[in-house]
Amino acid sequence: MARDDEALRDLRKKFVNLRLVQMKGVDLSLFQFDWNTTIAAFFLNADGTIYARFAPREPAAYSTAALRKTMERVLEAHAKPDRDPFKAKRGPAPAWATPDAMPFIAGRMRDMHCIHCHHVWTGLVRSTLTEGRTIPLQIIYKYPSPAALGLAIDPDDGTSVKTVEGAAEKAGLKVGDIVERAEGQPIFSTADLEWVLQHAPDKGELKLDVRRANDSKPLTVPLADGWRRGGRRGLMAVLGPGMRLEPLDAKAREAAGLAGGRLALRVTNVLRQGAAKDAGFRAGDVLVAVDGKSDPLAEDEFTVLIRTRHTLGAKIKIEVLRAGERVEIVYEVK
Amino acid sequence: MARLALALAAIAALLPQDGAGNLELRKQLKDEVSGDEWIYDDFAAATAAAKKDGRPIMAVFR
Repeated sequence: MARDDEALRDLRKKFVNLRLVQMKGVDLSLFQFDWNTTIAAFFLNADGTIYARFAPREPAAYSTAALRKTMERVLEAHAKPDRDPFKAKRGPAPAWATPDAMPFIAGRMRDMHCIHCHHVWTGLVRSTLTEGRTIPLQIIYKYPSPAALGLAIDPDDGTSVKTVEGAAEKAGLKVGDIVERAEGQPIFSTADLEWVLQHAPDKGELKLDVRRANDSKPLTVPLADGWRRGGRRGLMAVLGPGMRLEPLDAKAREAAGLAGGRLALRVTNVLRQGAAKDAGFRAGDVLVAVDGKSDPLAEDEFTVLIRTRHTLGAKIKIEVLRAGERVEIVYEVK
Repeated sequence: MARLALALAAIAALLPQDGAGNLELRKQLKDEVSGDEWIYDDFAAATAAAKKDGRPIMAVFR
């Protein structure tokens, strides 16, 4: 991406260029980001101050223009003495100092030559479960896209509002606004905004400072219950229940004799190994109740229910419709 | 192919000498022929270099 861009090559000379090719021994108190991204960059001061993150999530975001702008913003900030605004770009103390300290990685992956970024999430989830804890929404819906607020950011800029709707529109954001700060943190890239969203409360509000023409405007975006789901990109495989599910459409519901507005998730695939296979689920089963409740759920919401409310080894009674008959399956969380 | 190998070796000789492992890595990442100067998997070295000349660090995960 950057190799053939002359302007980027010139900019890179103004930085100490470090490649971290694998994650063994990497300091997780410093390097916190969505470890599932294909490529990610941190811009730091030698004293450990994090100026910015750059981590494109969609193909359109692999933009050399956005990377150049992020680097220019970083250089401008580096030339100034004030580091205080950047303090919150360093995350809370991690449960494990390095990926290889995670029990799952230290155990199951100890003989691997190197640990890749995506292994960190697997290690974090599996180690958390092994310690008898549930998985928070912050991990399930990790690093929400600005779409969670109703925002699309210009991929060639990283901070300029391209489209706006929903909560962000109600808060007063407009197309063309430049998001300068979020919760007081300078925003140099879309990844910086996603970092702030990662640490935003499950319900509350988000304070933004935007530049519009020559004015700086403070705006507050409400974060309604469940807002994170609006910024999801697909759940990590390590969280999955061991089967793929899809909701029945109206026609299929009618054929199955199932009323609308109630749970009706069809199993489309059962993994060859996993909790669903062990419990006895079959492709074609239709989930109609979980622990006696029939509230409608999408596939990701079923995963959320399992992972946020149940720990490893918990047994959940799931009722399915199979060949016209109701069957109870005991699903053990793994 | 032999000329290319010689060219690569010549360029590699001009790069900071930091061991056979990093040379192989540079080949795989195609850093070798671009003349780039990268520090590999050594945050302490990057920090020391940044302290020395006042530059910020760009740490790329890949």
